[in-house]
Amino acid sequence: MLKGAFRDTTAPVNGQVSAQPHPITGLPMRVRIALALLILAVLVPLPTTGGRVVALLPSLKQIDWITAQDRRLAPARDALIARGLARVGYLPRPSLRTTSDILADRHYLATRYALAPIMVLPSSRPVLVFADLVDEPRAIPDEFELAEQLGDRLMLLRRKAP
Amino acid sequence: MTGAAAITVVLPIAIIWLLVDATLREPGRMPPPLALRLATAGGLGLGIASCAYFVALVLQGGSLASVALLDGALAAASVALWWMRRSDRHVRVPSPPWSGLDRWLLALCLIWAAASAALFTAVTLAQPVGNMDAWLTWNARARFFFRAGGAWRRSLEGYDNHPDYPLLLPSAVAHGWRWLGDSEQAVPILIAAVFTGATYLLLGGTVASLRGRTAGLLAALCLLATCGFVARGTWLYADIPLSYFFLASLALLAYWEVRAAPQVGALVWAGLACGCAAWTKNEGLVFLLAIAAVRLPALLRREQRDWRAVGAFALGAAPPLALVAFFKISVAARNDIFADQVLGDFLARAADPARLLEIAGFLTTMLINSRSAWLLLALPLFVVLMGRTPDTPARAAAGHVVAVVGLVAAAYGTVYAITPYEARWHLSTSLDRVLFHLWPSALLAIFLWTASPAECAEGQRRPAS
Repeated sequence: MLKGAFRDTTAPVNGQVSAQPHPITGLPMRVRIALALLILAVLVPLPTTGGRVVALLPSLKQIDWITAQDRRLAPARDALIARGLARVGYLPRPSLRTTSDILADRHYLATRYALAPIMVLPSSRPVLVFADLVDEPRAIPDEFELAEQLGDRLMLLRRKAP
Repeated sequence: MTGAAAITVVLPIAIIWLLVDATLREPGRMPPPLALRLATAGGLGLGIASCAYFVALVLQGGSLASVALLDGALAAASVALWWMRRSDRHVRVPSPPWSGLDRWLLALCLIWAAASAALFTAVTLAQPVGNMDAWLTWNARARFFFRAGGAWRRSLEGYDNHPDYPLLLPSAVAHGWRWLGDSEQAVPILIAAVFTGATYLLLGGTVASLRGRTAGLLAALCLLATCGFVARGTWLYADIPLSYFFLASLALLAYWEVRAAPQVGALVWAGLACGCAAWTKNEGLVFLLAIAAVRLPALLRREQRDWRAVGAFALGAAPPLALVAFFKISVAARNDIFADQVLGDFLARAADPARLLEIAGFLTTMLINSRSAWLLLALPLFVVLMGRTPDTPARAAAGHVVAVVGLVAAAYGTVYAITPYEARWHLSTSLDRVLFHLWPSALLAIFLWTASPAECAEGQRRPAS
């Protein structure tokens, strides 16, 4: 099977196979040097690759942060879809002042990914705003009221009427 | 669940395998190596699945019934053609026996394949969502398609980071998810594994078919030893699929050219791969233009203009290109490099010598610091020592591949010269990936042009006799 995968099909059309395999000792010296150089070059990075695999082994038992966020936000996504929402705003951490700050924030980006197909806009101006307060002790900001508790400090907030 | 995910990825490949097996064989001649046929079916099967899913998405919101209908029709056509061509499968032509050198090279390939598979598995287990753009762009889109169905445009209109990027990868992922009924992360991982593995097989299989087994194994070994290639596969971006489609198109064109095949099956598949490249990333459109610029004059210069060949290539390319046209017209998204720019800005940046020096310096530093620097050093020496092949059609095919790769590389260089972004940032975030678009095709050109060990031995023997 393996040998068939690289079957030599350069044989003539009449099907006669003229060439016997060339023993490596029968090859000209320059060809032997060329082959040795190439084989040496492909062997050099092999130990590094093995080392990278070994280095990764301890991290295999851990769940990466994006996957963990994705799993945590999945019930919230289902609840928002069940509410018939297509887009919501986003309550950023207080340190994020501009839209560019929010767009570069990994919490916001992970939320976008986890809540898809709900569009999470990088602004708290919409009437309904998604908030993830798990890392923050702060209460709901004054201009908002709770629209729906989504569990695990995840909330849908509604902007209060002015 | 992972087993079921594997079935959703393998099924479209199996369907296309029948078509490939029926159309790449020539009556009375040895079939192409299994590696070439498997690799062609692997990547192009997923490409066709992506096209079918997108059609179902646009027409029926990607419902399971519509996807099943399209996949079923494709399966029926494949089985019918495979059955009609069954008599061609009984050709048995002996292959030259395996030399000691070939056995050693196969063993090295297997060791490298095992190391690459271990690295791919370890990285995707540690970080199953891939690198940032995978979950931010490619798989986020697939989630919109799968979960929002008819509202698929929503993700692209003013929300997506790169709304003008074509949709082959997200549609292929959503195709698997639709059959599975769940957005299991195993599907994009398996798709990445298929494209990465198929590129190795396609390169090795094509070179083995056209230049002999030893050259094929050496070519596969060089790509396997390019450590960054499998690492980019684990990122789950569209770059490795694009690299595969570039190679598939050029390899199948070379196969048709060198084998002087009377049948045009390989050309239809080459056209399909070219169309799929354009359906994968915008760089695929550049590739399409490069292929047209290099191959059309050659075909039309012949005494008898080969319209049949042009038609076969166009027939394959048409379905994905129609989707690209529909997508570009209906979504009309802005491109971040060309939008809001005027010609004067481009020219001013392109004429800035400091910028051009910075690009050249960045490229040189990247290549010197690459884990494959030894390979980059050894390959030119290998080519010089082995010399060129006496096989004129193979050298001509190599020339065509070099011309296409050169044109695409020139286009990439031009984009870096005119980009509105800071050049260093743009280079550092993309240059390594775009080099891998062209690397397998460059290896194809090298091993098509270089004399094989058997030819060198024959050349030594001839003067003595």
